[in-house]
Amino acid sequence: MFNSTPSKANLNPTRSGRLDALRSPSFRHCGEFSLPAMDWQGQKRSEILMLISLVVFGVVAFGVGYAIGSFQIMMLIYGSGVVLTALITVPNWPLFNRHPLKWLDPSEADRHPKPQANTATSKKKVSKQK
Amino acid sequence: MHSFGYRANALVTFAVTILAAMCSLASLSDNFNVPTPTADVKVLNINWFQKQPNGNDEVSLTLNISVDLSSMFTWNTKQVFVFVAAEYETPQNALNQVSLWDGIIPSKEHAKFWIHTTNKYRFIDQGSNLRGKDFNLTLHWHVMPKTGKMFADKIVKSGYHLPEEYR
Repeated sequence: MFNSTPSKANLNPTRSGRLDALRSPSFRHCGEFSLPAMDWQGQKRSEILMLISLVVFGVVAFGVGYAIGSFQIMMLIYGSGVVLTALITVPNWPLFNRHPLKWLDPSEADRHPKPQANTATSKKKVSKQK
Repeated sequence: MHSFGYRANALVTFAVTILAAMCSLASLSDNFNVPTPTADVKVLNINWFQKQPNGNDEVSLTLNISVDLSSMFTWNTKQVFVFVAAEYETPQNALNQVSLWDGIIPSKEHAKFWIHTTNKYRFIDQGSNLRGKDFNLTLHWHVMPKTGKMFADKIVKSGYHLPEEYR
């Protein structure tokens, strides 16, 4: 699930990479190609933060609820924890987009044609990256 | 994790999974509770004892039910359902159980009480076997949780006797 930052050699978007970008919903909103709205590092951070935050809130909610003997308090703590986590990790905050990928301009891409000879090996590389 | 919807879906799914884990833990924690219930049922009076036109015996009793189930309540208890059943044997059936009274205890504060009442539900036999019958009065309870497993148990009080003749 965690894609490493693509190496310099693959900064030219390959045919399938370009199609994915075109399918992204934020494509329609941007004048420039800065897709997706969270960069890879940001996505990884957001997901880890979400997992840890939810587990911590779950544990704390159960602990406090059990110690006090109040089921309602447990649900309140957990519910507010879920809402808080959602507010932090789900929207496209700028702090998750600090290392945006620099896609090549379309006009630039035309000046650097894709290699024709070894299409078999490059296709294999793309599927491994995913 | 590349779009708002994707992340929102992942978050909701994981949050619900954790919620399920918390609820099963809460249910498991009920096993640590060691309850010490006490109960007593007295038959104060046999109001009447008749044979119905369809051939079945019917009895009306006045009962005094005194109960202390406060130790059954845990943090995960929603309510306790309690009922009193008369149990006896007949030639046709090895065991007859007739529910005479039930009630719902909504909280720990209400769990220690006594009640003086006629039977809420009619004590009717299948047939005409109740004259001179010995019977038990069993107090059952069902501890209904907020989440998880329901516990049920009972106390059997024996030594009750119905009159030899109709009255």
